[in-house]
Amino acid sequence: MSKKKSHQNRSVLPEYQMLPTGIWHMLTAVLLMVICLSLAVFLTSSLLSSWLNEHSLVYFELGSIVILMLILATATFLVTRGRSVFHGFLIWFNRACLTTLLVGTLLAFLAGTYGVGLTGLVGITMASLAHQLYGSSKYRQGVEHYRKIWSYHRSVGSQK
Amino acid sequence: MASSLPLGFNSYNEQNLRRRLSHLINQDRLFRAIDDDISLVGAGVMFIDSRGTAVTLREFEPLCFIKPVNIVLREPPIGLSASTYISEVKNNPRESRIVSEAAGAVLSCGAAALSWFVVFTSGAAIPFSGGSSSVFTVMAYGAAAASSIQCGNSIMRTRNEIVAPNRNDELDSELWYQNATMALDIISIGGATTAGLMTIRGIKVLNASGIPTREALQGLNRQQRRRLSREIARSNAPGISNSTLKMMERAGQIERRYSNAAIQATTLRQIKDATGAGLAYAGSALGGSFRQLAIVVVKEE
Repeated sequence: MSKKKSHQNRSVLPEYQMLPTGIWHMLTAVLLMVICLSLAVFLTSSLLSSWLNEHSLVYFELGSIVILMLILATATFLVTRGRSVFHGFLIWFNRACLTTLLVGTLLAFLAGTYGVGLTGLVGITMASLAHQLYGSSKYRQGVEHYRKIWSYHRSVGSQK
Repeated sequence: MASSLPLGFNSYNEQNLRRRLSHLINQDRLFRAIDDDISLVGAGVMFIDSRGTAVTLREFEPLCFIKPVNIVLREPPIGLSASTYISEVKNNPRESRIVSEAAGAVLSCGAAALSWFVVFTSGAAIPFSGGSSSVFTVMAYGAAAASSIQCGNSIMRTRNEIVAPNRNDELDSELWYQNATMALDIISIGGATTAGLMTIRGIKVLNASGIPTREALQGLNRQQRRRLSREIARSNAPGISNSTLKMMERAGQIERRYSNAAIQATTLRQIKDATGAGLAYAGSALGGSFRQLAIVVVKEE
């Protein structure tokens, strides 16, 4: 978002929306990502199981889940605080998750571990759906609404 | 030693079982073997026979532990072979644990969904309410992040329970893991409690203005909205005088009257938060620290 556009919208407060446009897309996307990230961690952990011992795998899974969830939660929270640049980050994050799931699923099927592969397919379906939601016009409208109201709120705060 | 213990319900079957056990088991040797194990010193010993008759061979003595530790010796029930019984004992808790972990995952993820909903709706409301609920939103963010981690953790535990149950056992045996899950529960419950307190406070303010919650959702007239605005200001600054209130209204430091949309949104949000709070508590009870407390209580019985 350019500085010029941001400056133009600063003085105009959009109409109050109790449930902003795109809120359901945002909610569904974040929940799908929570599940996708967990599945991506399982897939990676299953592929690493030949090299790592059980103890290390437990720590790897738990640590990865905590870090990935914090990244997702912080970026999503910042979007709801009008930091629209994090929408781009979330799309990139979703693509990274999707790529991990695709590679992991392919390797799982090649290795003959069909159970893991099927889990990966479920993850790919969810990640693809989340990708569609992140790129949808409603999601973008929602991000834009948050950006506008928070831009106004900050401009009023800075005037005081 | 057994004869000095209280018999409880001293039925004929119990007396018979005691007599049988006095011939079959060298109780003194059994108790010595138990007391030799540092983790079992003073443990109570119970015996349940194949017909379900139970006798206490030794009461728990709090020598090293305050909380009771009991060892239950149980014969296979009639009609079950020893191997079938052993496999049942080994497998049944696992099966029930899969269901318990899956239910915990559903609740944790449900709580995460509601926490996120609160983050999205409050994010849209703060610029209109002048940032009065910023602290609450930060708490909601903490609760949403903690619930998301709990959701991921619960999914991981459910999958582990199916594929590699020993991983869950290993995690459960770690003190740091117990503390970490407890911390996550506290953050989730902290957010839920804040939401609950905000709901109670909101209802109190509405009641103080003589407005039922249902009426707040339907919309208020100008006088009611002004009365509510003043009540909110009084709630935020207890003991404030009417003249100071008027002065602050004129200076624009407090809202003269909130819009109907803002009041409806706040009331609805508080109701949602209360529902989220309930789910967070339920998720914690099933999958987190509260469950451990429940197990301790059972052990104490």
